Amino acid sequence: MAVQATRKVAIVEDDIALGANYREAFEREGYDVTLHASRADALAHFDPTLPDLVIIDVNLGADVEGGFELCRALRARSATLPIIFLTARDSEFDAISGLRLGADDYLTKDITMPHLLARVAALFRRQAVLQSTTEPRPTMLQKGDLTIDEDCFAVDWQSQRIALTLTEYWLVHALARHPGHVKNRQQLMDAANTVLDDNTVTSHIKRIRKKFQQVDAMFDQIETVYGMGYRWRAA
Amino acid sequence: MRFSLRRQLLIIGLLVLTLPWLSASFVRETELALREAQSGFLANLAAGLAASITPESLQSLPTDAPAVFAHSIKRSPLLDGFVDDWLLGVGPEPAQVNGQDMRLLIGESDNALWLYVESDGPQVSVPVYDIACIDASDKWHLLAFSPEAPGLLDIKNEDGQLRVRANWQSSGTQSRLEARLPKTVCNTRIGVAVTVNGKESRSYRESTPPRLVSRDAALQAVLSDIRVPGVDRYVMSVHGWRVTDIVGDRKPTATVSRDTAVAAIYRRLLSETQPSTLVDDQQPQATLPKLATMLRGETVQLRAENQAGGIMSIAAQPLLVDDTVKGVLVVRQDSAAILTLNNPSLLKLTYRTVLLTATVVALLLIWASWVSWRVRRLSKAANTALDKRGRLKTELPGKNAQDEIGRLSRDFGTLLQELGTQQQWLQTLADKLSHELRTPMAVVQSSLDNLMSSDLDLSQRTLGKRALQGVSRLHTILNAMSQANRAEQAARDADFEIVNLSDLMTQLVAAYEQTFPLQQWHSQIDNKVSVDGSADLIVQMLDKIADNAAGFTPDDKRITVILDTDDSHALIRLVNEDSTLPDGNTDALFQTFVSNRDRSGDDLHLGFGLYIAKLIAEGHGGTIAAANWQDGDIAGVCITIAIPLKQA
Repeated sequence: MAVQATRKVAIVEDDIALGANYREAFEREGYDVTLHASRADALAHFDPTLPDLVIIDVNLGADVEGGFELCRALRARSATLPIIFLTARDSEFDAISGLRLGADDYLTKDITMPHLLARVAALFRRQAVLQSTTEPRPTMLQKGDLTIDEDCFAVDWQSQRIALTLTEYWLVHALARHPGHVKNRQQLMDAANTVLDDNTVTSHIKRIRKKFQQVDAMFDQIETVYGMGYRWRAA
Repeated sequence: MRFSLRRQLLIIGLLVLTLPWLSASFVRETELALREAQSGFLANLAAGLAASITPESLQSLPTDAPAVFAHSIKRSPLLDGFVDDWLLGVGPEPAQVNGQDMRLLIGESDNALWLYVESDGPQVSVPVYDIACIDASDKWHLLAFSPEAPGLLDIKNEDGQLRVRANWQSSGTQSRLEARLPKTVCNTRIGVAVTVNGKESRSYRESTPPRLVSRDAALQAVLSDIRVPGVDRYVMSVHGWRVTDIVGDRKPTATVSRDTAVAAIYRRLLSETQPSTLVDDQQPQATLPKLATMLRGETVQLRAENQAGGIMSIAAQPLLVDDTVKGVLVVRQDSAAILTLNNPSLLKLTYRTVLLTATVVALLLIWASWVSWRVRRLSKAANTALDKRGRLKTELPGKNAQDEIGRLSRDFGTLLQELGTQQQWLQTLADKLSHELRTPMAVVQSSLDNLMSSDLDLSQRTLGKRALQGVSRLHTILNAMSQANRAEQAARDADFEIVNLSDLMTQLVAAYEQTFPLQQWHSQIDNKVSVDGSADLIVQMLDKIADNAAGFTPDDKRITVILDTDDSHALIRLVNEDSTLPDGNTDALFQTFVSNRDRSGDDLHLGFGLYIAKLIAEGHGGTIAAANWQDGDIAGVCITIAIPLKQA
């Protein structure tokens, strides 16, 4: 994937080896990477200018919740800065906390490098589209009340924007592209560029339903097919 | 039957009950020894006394047979035709010839011989009496008479030497004659014959009348001269009649108190000491049945019970003159002195022993029951210390007791506490492990990813791919490990709603038919079964069980899914044909890291599936159990899940 200019990616990771690996991979993709081992180090470095994307580990050495704190601080400074949590903490509670703080994605460390790179690239693409408002490109997918903006990774339901994370977007996209077709968990995980266990898929779907229901209380387009997976109800 | 502590103690307690029996045996042994000593003493005494009796004083004892005995009459009776006032204690005896018609009794007083004859015959007939006597000079005296009327009569024979004064009485068919005969002529032999209506009855069979045996005054004097305190003695003729009075300073024999149960028990225990014969002073031959032995010259020892209930030891010594037995000396002594049974202090001791033994046994039983109860309580508490969710109660009953059981309880408590810590550590181990391993795994993963992106030749790339495959499998394991924890959390946090199990399971079975096409899926699903729960979790639970069942079922065999209800629960059963559970604790199947699968397959099985199923079932307030199943043509392993029905 070609990357124009050099985008600055900051990685906040207390494990030096892991951070170095990430840096190497991102640099190979042409990104300009800075590596920070602690919250203070990262904040000091971000002071004049923010990077274009931040990848944060929640647990920063002795600073157990340091990642969350950092996310809060960064989100306060920029509403659009893409933030990804990459952490060993895989509990549902941590994921919800992280996303509530405004992170764009919450990933566990067992994600493979290609998956991670794909996500980062997707986030940059979305940002680019959002920033270049001058050039509206209508690559929209319309399924009944659902409108999917495949460039912005954005979803509208009854013309109202639903704020989805990248994973959630990919799940909705995979389901809604072929309404009435059952997607099993493996297919959904592949579509979302991730490896999740059954419970995590289930809770993602639950969260998606809730987000839609906040806009439309009658929303029940995502149907559970017991023993098989999920499908988008055909209109 | 359970051989409990209490039962064991009961048996031991019963052993204690043998103590009274042992003491009784001891008493009996002692008494036997004492009695033997007494017997020996009496035998020796009898031999000594017999030796001191001179042959001269024995000369007058008759030894010929047949003989007839003249009982001693202390006071001359009234001549009235009745025998009652002879005061003998014995009645007339049947005659030798035609005894059914005639009975005879002979008595002797200081100056006369008394005759009593009882005869039967037709009412009007008058008997004819024939009396034959032989005196000391072998002279015969005969007298025959027939009374003319009832009442007194005086008759004598031709020479007037045999004068008989008699009283004849007749009542109906019986005649009685009481007669007094002079001792001067009737002193050696006497015989009586009675003829009634031409039918003769005789007191003797032979031509000569039988020899008259009576009290021997000379021998009596000899016996009286010998003084042996506490010992009775008398002399018996060879015919078995007592020819002297019983000589000795007899004390009244103490009677045995038989009024108490314990005494009766003791009597039973000592029963073999009870003699079978009774002392009868009038007819000693009845009490000394070994007369024949004595007449062969042997000493006889035996025991008899007297009329008062006391026991006597008896020794009989034949009296010999020129190797001929002339009579028998009988020596006897009361056994009351050595009869321990009569000893009141022994009886008291018996009472106390029995009472004490019973008390000890009762106390032992109570104590054993108490100990047994404590042990049972402790064992029950230890058994239930691990609850169904694998949590431990470390509080055990009776841990404050100072004895061994209290210590056992405390030790159990400590053990359980350690076990609890271990259990807790185990329960969180998987989650901790997966969490801790995730970062180093990510290092390996990312390093490999980077490596694969660089320029590698084909063999390096192959190696890299293999390494990535290994890492991917490790990820699967880590996910499975943390999944258990996540499932528990999910079960706790899930929003419960009404779940239509019937619809859900119908869909599921249809899905399983596609997912596991190698097995035949059958279902028996009741309509309209609903529970309160989380459909996602229930599906997850059933997925795990279905996956497990499919893994254990050979190809083309059946897996049967059954949904029905009992009173309060929805029952989901999954039976996979052609497999059996190993013996032992089936609950262990639902623990983590327990897998009964063989390891040959490619798939990973860490034994989390059934554990997660169990977590979910319990999260719904239900239970899960595995058992071997046999119902009609379905046989195999059955996993049963019971979930409370939705409250109407």
